Amino acid sequence: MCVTCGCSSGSNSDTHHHGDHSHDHSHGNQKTIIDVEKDVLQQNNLLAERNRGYFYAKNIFALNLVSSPGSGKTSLLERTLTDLKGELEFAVIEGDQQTSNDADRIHATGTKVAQINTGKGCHLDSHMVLHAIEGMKLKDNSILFIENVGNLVCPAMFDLGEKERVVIISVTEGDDKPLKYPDMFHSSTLCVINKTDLLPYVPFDIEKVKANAKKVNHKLEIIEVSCTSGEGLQDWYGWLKSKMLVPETV
Amino acid sequence: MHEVSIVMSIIDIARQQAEKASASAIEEIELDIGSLSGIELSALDFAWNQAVKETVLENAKRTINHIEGRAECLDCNTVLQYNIITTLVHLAGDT
Repeated sequence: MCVTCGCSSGSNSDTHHHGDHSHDHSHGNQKTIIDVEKDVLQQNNLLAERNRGYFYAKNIFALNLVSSPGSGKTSLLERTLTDLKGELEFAVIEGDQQTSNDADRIHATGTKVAQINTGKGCHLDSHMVLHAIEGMKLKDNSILFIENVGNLVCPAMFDLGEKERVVIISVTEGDDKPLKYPDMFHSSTLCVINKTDLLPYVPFDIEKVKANAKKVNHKLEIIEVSCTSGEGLQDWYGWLKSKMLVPETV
Repeated sequence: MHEVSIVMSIIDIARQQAEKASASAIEEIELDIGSLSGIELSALDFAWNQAVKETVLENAKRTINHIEGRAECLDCNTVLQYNIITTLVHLAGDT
C-alpha cells in the first residue's frame, strides 16, 4: 500500500508520483491521481518573464509602482515626467478599475501612456501588461512606469515583468503600514515616502515607518520626497538615473 | 480579493490536466498552500464556491495542505518557524 495516498497496489498499473517517490498501482474504479506540482501563478509568471525579456532586449527599465489609493503615485509621475523631460525617455501604463483620468493626467505631460481598466479586478497582471505594451511601440533605452491599481495587498503577488518594484507611502497614512501590509513592503526594492511637506501637521513618525519597513525588508531602499515642495525629488531622480543602464556603443 | 484570480488559475490548470488525461470529472483536488503565499484561506473559500460553478471542479472535494513557513539562520543553519514576514533574530543556542 502506498503510505502517501493509502491506495493498494494491484495489476492495473497507473504510474503514480508523490513528489519524491513514484510507483505503479491500480485504483479499482478507474480513478487516476495526477500529480500536477504546478504553481497556480505559473501562467502569470510565464508571461511576466516574457515581458521581462522584451524589456531587457530593448533596455527598458520597467518599474511597478504600488501603494494604497491616494498616496500620490500619479502626482509623483506627473512631477517626474515634467522635470526630466528631455533628459530621459518615458512611457507609462496606468492601471485603474475605471476611468482614464490618470492616463489623461499623464498624457497632458506629453508622455506616451496606455490605460488599463481592470473592471472588477484589484490588481494588474502580466497578461494585461503584455497587451498594453503590444500597442505602445516602446522606445529602446527608456523608462516604463507601470502604475498599479491602488491596493497594498493583491498586487504583491503578481509579477508583471518589472525590474524594480517601488512602494509609495504618504505621511498621511499610518506609520505602522509596513507591518500591517508586509507582503508589499517585502517584495519591493524601493520605498518612496511622499508628502513630506505635511509632516508638521500629522502624527506620522518618519523614523518609525522606516524602522517598520526595514523590519519586513532589510534590503529596502528608502527615499523621502514631497511632490508639492519638490524636496527630495533629486534623490528619486538620481535613483532612477543610476538604474538606467547606459547602452553600449558598438 | 486576488484569490479570485488564484481560483481561476487553479480551474484552468485542472481543466487542462483533465483534458490531457481524458478524464470526465475531477473528484478530488489537493492544494498545497503556504502560510507565506499571500493567500487568505477564507477569501479563497469564498471565491472558490462562486468560481467553480459549471467547471470541472464544481463537484470536486477540495483538500488543502497547509505548509508552514520556514527560515534558516545564516550563521548556524538552524531552521526556524517563520509564518509572518518580519525580522527574525536567532541567537546561537536558541531553537
